[in-house]
Amino acid sequence: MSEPTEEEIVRTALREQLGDAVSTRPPESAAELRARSGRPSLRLPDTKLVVAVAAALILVVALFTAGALHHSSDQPTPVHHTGGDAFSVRPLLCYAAPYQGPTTDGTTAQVLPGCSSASSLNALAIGVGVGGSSLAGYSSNLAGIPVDDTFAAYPSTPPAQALPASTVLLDGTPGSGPDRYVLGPAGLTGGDVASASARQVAGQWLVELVLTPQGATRWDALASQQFHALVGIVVNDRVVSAPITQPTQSSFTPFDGQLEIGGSFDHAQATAAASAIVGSK
Amino acid sequence: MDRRDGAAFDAFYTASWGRLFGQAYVLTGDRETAQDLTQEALLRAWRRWDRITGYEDPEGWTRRVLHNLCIESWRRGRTRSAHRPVDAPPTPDIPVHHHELAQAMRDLPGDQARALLLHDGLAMTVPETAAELGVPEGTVRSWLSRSRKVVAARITQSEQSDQPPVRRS
Repeated sequence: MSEPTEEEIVRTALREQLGDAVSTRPPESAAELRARSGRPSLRLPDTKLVVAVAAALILVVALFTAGALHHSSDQPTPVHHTGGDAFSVRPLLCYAAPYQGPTTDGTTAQVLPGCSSASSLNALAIGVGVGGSSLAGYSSNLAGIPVDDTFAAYPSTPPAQALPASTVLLDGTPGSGPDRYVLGPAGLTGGDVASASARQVAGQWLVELVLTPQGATRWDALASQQFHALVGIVVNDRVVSAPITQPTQSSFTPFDGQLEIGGSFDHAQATAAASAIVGSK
Repeated sequence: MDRRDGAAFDAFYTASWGRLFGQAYVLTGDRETAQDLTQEALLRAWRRWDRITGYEDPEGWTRRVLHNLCIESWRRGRTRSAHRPVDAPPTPDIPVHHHELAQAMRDLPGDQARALLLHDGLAMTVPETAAELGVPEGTVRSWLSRSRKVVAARITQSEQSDQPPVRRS
């Protein structure tokens, strides 16, 4: 008997495995899947063209209800609050260049200029197109909107001055996305969060938030104001995630008090973020 | 107004689920990840269902989305792979060589793994595979011969090891 060729070995292994799977049953019915498809989502834009750092950009912030997470392999790690002020969600106004100026003492008050019109991340400039042939389910001009270089002369806002009502200039997460972000007044803060849990979905760690009734209303107000534009999610004075609101939908759908934050989190970071968020109530 | 045909989608879902899941499992080697990504791909298909059914092969569209999701999931997992060289222990109902196959696929560049899955797994022709991946046919042929060597070596090695593959009866 002659030895099987490489092609035969591979073909046999692949087809056997594919054949075995054909009889596997889906985890939910088609009707269940359709029922959750209308729920709103946030998507992290593909910023590969905006910044050169690609590794940590495979981030998707999506909103599912807990029901959509029934395959997560780890139980959520609930975290209880202690006090502080470490969490906010703010409208994202523009991406900002790294600070190039002299070293500061980190306490100097800064009056920030507005974002230049070329860099402004408003919904009109982003120009989300729902559907199209894109795999992501939407298209946008986001990759063509430049980082605002004016801010190279401005240090990041010191934590003590990053008040909810202020416009702030904050750092991003090292190795992930733009260097810095200019963000408007907070639409959601730690007091709006009822609970936060770290959980794993499809191998990726996420922070899942359940909002208070008042928080749910405030989040919908911010998200609808930023529909097809971006929000920045701030934890401990850093932007951990900056998703587009509902880019695959042609009109805004309320979030029903739930919010999932995806980032380049590992387990420890997701737990720490959840802890910081509920700690800021 | 929702013009989408729910009944047609449900029939498509039932008919294609096992095939799509199998491909995701070949590419990820992890049952839960494969299930999650299959659901995500089908969710996207339903969101665009009115368009997809109009002029395209719905399973082909969903398959492309799914394969991309699987390859993306490798990149997310790669940072952790130093701590977890073997992704997950094979569960009792999964033959050992299935796990080896998925590991070998993950060692390939994403496009090569997709080419192998489409051509050798799904029995697509070289021109069909080239069209799906958007590369010349010659590229597909050279990818196939290169990636078969890697995968065949890995499977053969595992079959000759002390732990024989457990096959389903």
